[in-house]
Amino acid sequence: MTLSCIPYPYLHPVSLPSFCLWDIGYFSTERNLAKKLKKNPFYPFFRQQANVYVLEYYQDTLWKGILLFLICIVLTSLGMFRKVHNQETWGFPAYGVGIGLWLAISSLPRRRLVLNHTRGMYHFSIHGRTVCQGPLHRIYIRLALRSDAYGRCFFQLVLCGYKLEPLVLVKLSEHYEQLEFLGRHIARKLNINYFDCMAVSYRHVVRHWPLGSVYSPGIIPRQKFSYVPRHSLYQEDNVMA
Amino acid sequence: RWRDRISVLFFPPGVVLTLASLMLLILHVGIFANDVHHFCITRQFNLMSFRSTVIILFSQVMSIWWASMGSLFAELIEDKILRCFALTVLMLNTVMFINRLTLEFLTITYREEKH
Repeated sequence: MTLSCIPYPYLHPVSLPSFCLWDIGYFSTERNLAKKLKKNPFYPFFRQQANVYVLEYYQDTLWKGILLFLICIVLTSLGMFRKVHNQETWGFPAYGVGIGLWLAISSLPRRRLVLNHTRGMYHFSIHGRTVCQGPLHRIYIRLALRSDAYGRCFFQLVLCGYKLEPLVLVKLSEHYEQLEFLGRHIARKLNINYFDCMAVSYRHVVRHWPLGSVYSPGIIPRQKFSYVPRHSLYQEDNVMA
Repeated sequence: RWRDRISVLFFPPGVVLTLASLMLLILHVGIFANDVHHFCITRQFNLMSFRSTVIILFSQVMSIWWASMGSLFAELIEDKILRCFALTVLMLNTVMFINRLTLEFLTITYREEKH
């Protein structure tokens, strides 16, 4: 199956496969994800061969960086914020120009993530240069939990892995069941691991195990000394993308 | 090739953040040395950087923030040399911030008008 087989009803720029991760919607993002899953069952990947899934994307810091860069260029060229109360403040837009330029340049090369189930490996490359290659148990879909000051819980669906950039599929939704369903669905379609928001939970779906435990996933005696309960495991996914 | 280096350099953002904060640190040390020189030796206070105190403090806070993000990423990567480097940069940035504040307060008390 090639790229052209995927039904794209109209060629809107955000529905292009490289930019599809930018368009996660503002409200009810889980419904948006469900619609996309209906169009492309292997979303966000597309199926290249029977067991090979490919995702090509640009990071969303690209447009943010370009926007910041343009705003700060306009500010400096118009001469606003040059001086406030005897204080030189032209440095603020100058910082903005620098940071925007760096954000844009660093996310300009296209990322490519390949899940190869025939070889049991994933392969992550930026602009054709390999960053990381490893076994499939290191890549997973995770329900990340965030709570605000009033104790309300918000859930995020994140595709992440060892040495990968976390990709947010659904951001900040309150519907746990829907997100769990969607996450399990995507993980089943792509045949990768799914993890719940709690570090210790019965709701994990583990399809790939590390090499040492391939033949006896449940029977291995847990090593007491190496087991430290980490209830904040999900925070690793949320560290600034 | 250098292109490989650059494309991979962009990826773990911790290293880039630490390097950026190191660059800012060098800049701040330069400005601080200039200020101390004019404050103690030449005594030409107009040449000190009072006109841009706001932006200097802002950029020092930014520098500390980047250094702490960089050291957080280094902790996640668990590379010993990188960790040491990032922590050192973070501590130097903090020391620089304290130095800058001390100098500002010193000049304020020095130039206070007493009648």
